[in-house]
Amino acid sequence: MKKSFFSKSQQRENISGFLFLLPNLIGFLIFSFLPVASAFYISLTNWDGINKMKFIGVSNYIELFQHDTFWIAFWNTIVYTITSVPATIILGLLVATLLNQKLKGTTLYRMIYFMPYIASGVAVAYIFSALLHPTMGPVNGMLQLIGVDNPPSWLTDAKWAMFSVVIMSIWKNFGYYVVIFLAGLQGISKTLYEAATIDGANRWHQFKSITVPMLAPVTFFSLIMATIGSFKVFDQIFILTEGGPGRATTTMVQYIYQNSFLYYKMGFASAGAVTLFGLIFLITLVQYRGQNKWVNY
Amino acid sequence: MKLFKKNIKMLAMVTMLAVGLTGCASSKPETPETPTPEDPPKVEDKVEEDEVKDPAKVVVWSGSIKDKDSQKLIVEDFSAKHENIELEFKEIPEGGDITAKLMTEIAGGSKIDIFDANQAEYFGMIELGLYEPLNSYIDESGFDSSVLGQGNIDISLQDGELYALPYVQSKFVLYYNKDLFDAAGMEYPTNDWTWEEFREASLKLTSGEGADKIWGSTMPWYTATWTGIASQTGVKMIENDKPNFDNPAFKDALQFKYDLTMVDKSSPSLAENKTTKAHFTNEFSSGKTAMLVGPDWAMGSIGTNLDHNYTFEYDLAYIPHPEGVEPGTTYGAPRYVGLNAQASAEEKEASWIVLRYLAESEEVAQALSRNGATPALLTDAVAEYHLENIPPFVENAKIIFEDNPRVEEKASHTQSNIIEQIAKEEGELALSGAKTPQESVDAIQKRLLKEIVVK
Repeated sequence: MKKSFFSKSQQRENISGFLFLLPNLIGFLIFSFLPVASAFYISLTNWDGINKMKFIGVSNYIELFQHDTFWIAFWNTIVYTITSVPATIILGLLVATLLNQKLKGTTLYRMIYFMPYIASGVAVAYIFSALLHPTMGPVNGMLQLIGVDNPPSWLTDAKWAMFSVVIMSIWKNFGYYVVIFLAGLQGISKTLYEAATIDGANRWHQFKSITVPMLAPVTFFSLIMATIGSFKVFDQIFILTEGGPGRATTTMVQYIYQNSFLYYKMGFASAGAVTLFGLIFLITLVQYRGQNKWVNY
Repeated sequence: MKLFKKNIKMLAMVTMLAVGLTGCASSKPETPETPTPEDPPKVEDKVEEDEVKDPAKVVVWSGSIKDKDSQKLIVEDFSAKHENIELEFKEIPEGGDITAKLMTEIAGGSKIDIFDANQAEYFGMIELGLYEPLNSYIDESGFDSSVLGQGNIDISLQDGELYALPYVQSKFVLYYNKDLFDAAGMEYPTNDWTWEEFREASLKLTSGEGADKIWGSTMPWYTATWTGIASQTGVKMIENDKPNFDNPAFKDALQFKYDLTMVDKSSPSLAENKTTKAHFTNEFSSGKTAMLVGPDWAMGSIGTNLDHNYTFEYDLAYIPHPEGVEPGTTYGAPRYVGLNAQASAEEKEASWIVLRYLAESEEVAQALSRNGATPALLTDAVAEYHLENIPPFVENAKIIFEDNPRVEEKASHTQSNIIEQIAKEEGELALSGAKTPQESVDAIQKRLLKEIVVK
């Protein structure tokens, strides 16, 4: 029998629920919500992190949108997102599909593919630096062996630096989506594939017409998570290139970091942070609206 | 009984976990031992008269003197001379960005009366109004700031005002591997080398390929290693309140570094340096680099890298100079110690006494040496103490304590951080071949005109 909301037992259950949530909620309020809310206010001041804040209205935003480096960082972030996100998700899906076979050692393979995700980003960045060394790195060594005379300097070449960062990010992150997709694949009923086989569908048709549509909710979730994560990229940029050479790999978070901790322009940096928040919010909203067209639950 | 056994098992598990976590917590990376002095400085019998009427406490934040033994000695020595002033060193947590921690403490209202900063931060602190102007204190007390090196003082003035005392010095010198010079049959560098002579020698000393390559020279990848060459000619990055990168000296300096690394290939390129992430002192310590243009404190790092088991002999000479410039003219960024401008007048009075002590005390200079920094105080005793761990074959080590003409390593401007970052970004594009040196300095000039506030 469904309990009334106002019944004593329901109220007791509600209170218990809130009490269980309370520690996490308090932590969220103090360490996440309040700093984010403060950033909105700080973005309207000229605060340098030390002296008193002075309200200056939207001056920071006006200056921000007139700043060359902001637009460079904005476009670098967009390029990073549109290259790394689809590649990460497609690779994750393909590997998950392969792992969803009845093969020996799938548990071991799952571990292997997931390990980069749990490895320290800093450690991975240092290893990629060594791999991509222009004269002593194995990547250029192999390229020279196959006849490429002047391989690029990768991380210190303005044309290739962002590509190098994207490759590292894909390698590090796709394992997470392998696990997500694998869980999704295992939720698809086998009878659908059996029926399709009987009807003469080959593996590709089955993948296209059964697997992909049935994984739409999982794909949607992965897309949102990967997009949000890509807009926040920082540690691999900081270690690999520090935003260089020049501003070739300066992303929005790198730009915000520079302005706040190197230049002590907290108000201005907060305006950048709020702008980034708005951008991520807008893109997520678009994705949510878009899901009605292609996600079936 | 079952409940008792269950509780005992739980207690045992918790105890084991606690012990294990304690073990993990205590196994932090060992910090290198700082040598404790064998003969602690003698305390003077006569106590100087205190110059403050009321007891005062002065808290010092020093990123350069972190070992507890040295701090204790300094506190004891100071206390014996100034009974009315209590000196305390602020505990600085390990790891992370020290400056960020300092700023957080100050913003949070922690009592910090004296704090130190590197050169770029020094100018930033002036901009933030955190450092107290010192000219009036110096004049009233009769303090002779030239004991810290007139060169250091000259590059620290902002509109004629000194805002903190340079108590740690850093100057660029030329290190050379004597064995490699002997093997190549070449004369050792002199104190009068020009940059062209340096480049010629670097090319002659370069040999081999790949892992067996002997490099003629190396430098840190700091922007100063090319802007400093321009500064040696007397130009400044900001002149008459305007960016000065359209001065040909900057383009010539950047071109020189480009030629050394990308044309001659006698010095590791930006790509090599940045990707390897090996410290420039490691390159020299490996014995595969004939010359290093680096800061004076690299001597200590070389010794540490080799664990004082030297596999080659090296020595020092003045950094090369452009044609027509006085030999010994060098660049380097001091580390400063100054008064917190936000403190009260009474606190500043006591703090000035401590600040002066930190700058001119040989005990503090020795503590700086023990902590891997080169003190700016120019006395024979300080030099002797600092150099006692340097091997005897480094015959010219004492040049680091000479008061040579000094030019700016970082822009002497309150927005030094922004200038440095822009010069670095555009300079890297030239040094990686993405732009010509002329295009890069033009871009620096254009961006600085737009982005920095000039008075």
